[in-house]
Amino acid sequence: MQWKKRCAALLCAALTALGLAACGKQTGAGASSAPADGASAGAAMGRWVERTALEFPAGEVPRSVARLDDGALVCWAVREQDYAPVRYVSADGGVTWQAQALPWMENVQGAISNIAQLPSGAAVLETYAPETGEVAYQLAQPDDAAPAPLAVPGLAQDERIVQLEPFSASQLFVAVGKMTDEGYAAAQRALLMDTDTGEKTADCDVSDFAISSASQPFTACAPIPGGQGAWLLGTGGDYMPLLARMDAAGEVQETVSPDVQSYISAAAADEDGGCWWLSTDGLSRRSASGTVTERVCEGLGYSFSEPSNTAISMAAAPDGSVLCVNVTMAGESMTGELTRYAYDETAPSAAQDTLRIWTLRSSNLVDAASAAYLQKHPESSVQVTAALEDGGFASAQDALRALNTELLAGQGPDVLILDGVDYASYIAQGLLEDLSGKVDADALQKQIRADFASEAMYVVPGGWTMPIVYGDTQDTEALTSLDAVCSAMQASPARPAMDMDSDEFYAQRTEAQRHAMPFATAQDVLDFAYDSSAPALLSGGAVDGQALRALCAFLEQAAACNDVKGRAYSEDYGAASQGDRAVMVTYLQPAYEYSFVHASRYGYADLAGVGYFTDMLLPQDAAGGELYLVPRPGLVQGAYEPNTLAGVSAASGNKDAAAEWVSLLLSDEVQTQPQNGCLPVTNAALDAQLALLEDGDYTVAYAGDVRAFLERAQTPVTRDEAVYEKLLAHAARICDGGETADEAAAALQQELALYLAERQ
Amino acid sequence: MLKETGTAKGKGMAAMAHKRNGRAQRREAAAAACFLLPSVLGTALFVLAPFAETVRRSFTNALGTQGAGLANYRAVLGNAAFRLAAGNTARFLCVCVPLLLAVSFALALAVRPLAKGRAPRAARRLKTAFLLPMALPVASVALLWQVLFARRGAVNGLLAALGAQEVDFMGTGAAFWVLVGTYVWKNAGYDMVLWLAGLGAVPDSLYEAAAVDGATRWQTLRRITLPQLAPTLALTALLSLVNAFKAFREAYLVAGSYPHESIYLLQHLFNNWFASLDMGRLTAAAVLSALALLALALPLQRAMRGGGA
Repeated sequence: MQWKKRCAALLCAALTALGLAACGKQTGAGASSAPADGASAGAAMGRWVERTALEFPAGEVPRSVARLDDGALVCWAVREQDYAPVRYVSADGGVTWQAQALPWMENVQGAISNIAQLPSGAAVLETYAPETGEVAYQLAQPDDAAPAPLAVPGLAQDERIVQLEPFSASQLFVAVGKMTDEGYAAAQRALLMDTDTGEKTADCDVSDFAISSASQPFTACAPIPGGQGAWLLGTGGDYMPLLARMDAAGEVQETVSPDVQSYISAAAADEDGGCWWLSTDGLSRRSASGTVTERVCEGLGYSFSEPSNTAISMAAAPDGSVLCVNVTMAGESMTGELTRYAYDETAPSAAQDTLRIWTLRSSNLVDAASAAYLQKHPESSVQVTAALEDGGFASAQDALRALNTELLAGQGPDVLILDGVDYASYIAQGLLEDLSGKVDADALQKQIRADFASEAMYVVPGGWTMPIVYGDTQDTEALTSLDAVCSAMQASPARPAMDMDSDEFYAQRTEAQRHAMPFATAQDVLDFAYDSSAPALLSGGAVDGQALRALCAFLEQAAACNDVKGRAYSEDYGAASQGDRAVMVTYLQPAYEYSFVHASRYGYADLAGVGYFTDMLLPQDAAGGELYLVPRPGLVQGAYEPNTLAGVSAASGNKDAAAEWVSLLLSDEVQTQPQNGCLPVTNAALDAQLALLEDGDYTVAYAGDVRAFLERAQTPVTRDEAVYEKLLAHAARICDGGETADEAAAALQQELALYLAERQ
Repeated sequence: MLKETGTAKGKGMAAMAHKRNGRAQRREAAAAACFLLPSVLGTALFVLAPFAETVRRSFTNALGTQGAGLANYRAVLGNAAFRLAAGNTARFLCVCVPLLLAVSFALALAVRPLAKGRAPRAARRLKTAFLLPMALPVASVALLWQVLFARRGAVNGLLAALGAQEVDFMGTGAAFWVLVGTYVWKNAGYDMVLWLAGLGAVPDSLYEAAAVDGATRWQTLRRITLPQLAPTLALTALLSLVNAFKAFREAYLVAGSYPHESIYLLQHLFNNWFASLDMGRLTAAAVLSALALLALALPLQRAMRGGGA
């Protein structure tokens, strides 16, 4: 019996020990894991590789790539000098290309704006007369001496061709609509027409698409080889990408809503009826009537993921590769290349090493720097974790807790993007590497160098913005303090209770009828003042009671002049952008209220590019006038907000690579991209941006010295979320009349004292 | 046991018996060790080792790579936030634990007669009802707090209807009493069950003897019941002490990282120090808290053992 007892005890101990050992393995979504090193992965080979299939000479811009019925590929380009078409053909799946001239190419009437290739070999040209701008459509068969005018059957007198795309070997998909007041034709219906007979063959049901609000409602129409129909790419009623597979008769057989976070700019179809599409997220494929979308390759590291590139045309080759036309704006001109994506069985499937980057939220700057790093190191991979977006964390606190656990355990990512994080404590605890000597501090602008690289360089921003106030009258320049803003509000009518859905928002107003500031909520008022006052509130480890009272007094007076009662938090109205690829302006609600409907006398925004000095900020009824700008008034002078604060973890095993990544963040290639949404931090990139204003086709409405204005930035402001949340709670009470400014200031002083006491 | 006969044979047999008993005891001890080994390993791995590392880190910098001597302890003891949090925690324990013990004991005394004979079904239902709060998820309790105690919550609505002034429950010292009330409400049922178990272990013969001697109810309670419940009191107090630290969860969910200073507890401070990577002070404060808890728990443990002997 004794031996039975002992056996039972040993078995029990062994089972429990096994269970404990299993518990020790790390599992779960939150655990960070790097892909296996290629060296240790052994025989794992094969991945999609990107290669440039065709480079175009200067002055030649690619427009489309398509597949013919015989399997050959055709790429069309246009010469910018004379708008003449150039044709390239490939018979080996896009590996090699030859220029090929057709008889009609010398006899095109008008300037070519677009060329659509039909699988039969015919081409449809969209041309315009440079003198009149009149648009015309022409059809050119391969052996024609000249293109012939193309007429769409059944058009009413007031109807126009909105868009024309190849559907099959001899069919065109045509979107038709009527002219709008804005001067473009808005699509209302679609049809198929036969290019051989010139007759309409079918009406297409495109009711799933939102087609009436854009001059080009469909992004692409990709014919399925073999005349099986086509995939139509556009935007659904929810303003998200939508794909519809149509059969040869133009009937919709299925619709697909791709799960992507970014715009789909090109699509292609293969002979199996499957659809390929490209977005900055990656290259994806969906089988006809399938239920699962395959992400063939992730975007990062490929040129189509770079914000400055746009894929405008795609074709699926017979050998399974995919061709794509990528274009980039370079100043005033456009350049492009034809890229081929193919599965290479000889390429290692896993990268040799992985650079890990952590950030709370994704950013174009981080993506651009990562893409630049991968261009330089194609054998490596970059893993970007945006903790609040794809890290599975509900709040910043949870994400930071997980990050801190990793860092304190001596692990964690290589590069940290410390926006929204108390990076001073990271520096104080020795968790960040000193980048002095590894990153060129001399390239940084004066204020960035002074604030982040004076002695040591633990954190360097990749961009910055400057809170500003602007208007079209000279009294804008008098708004140099919070008191001046209060005076302006008191001298103007009160802002009525309205939002972007109410008619009053869009009502015409005279100057005397406009309220001063576009404050719709308590959060608007707080954000206005906080971004230019935060450093004054907590100084020397203590609360500055006077500054706090001044801020609360401003909140109280602003609430008295604007109907913000009961509206504490700003709704997310989204943002509108205006401009071209080189120069852009993004409008949030306060800017919208001034710049679009001119309901207020002044607007305010975060200056994020040289576009903010152009007439894009001026409302239409002030067009042609002067734009007046001042730094946002507040309790500090020259407030500016650094962002994309990059640091290298002291525990990183990849410090050199991480430092190189930070250097690439500051490179001209990354800093000059207009989609960054912020001002560059290097002198060279800022010079390039300013040169665009001087040499480009933009109306600079700001009469002062742009460079001198930007040099007024001197005080970095980073938002402390704990302090901001407390201020917001009291701002809401002040605006509701539940608390006076003095009561709020006293309560805040007590609440913030605890916060500061922890840090003593 | 063999009687000693005084003969050599008798002595030899006694020695053999002694040896057999020793071997049996060793075998029993070995079997016990095997059964205990998994628990000991687990405790060592997940409790003792981390605590040892915490003690080590309390004498080093944040990364644990450089010694810092007693600097962290000095910093903790000199920190106003720590003193406030420690004071609040001590105040909370001193108020809510005795209150909980008294309330749960009173409930046990009220339910016991029903359980013993008069209405056993009603007693079972009452026990279930009192235990339910403990089964509620923390998030539900936090939601309930907000519904009841927010500025425009149900309680203020009732006060306004009665003509009384509204109370800012979460923004004033009233937050402390809300926290105490929640703690007592959540744990009263659990402690009541522990008391009932203790009451059930008191022999009825003692009560009968007391009744024969003419003792009053109060005398019976004071001279028989309470002394007999000393070990139960120690156990219940120890468990209530441990559960008191879980009150942080509701406070954090409702009021965030920086609540009103009356409910700013040690865990808030630890949570915020971790967020700012102040590991030196965090570990030093944790060691000090553990020592204080040990100082409270050891006498209770002794009382439990003393009562059980």
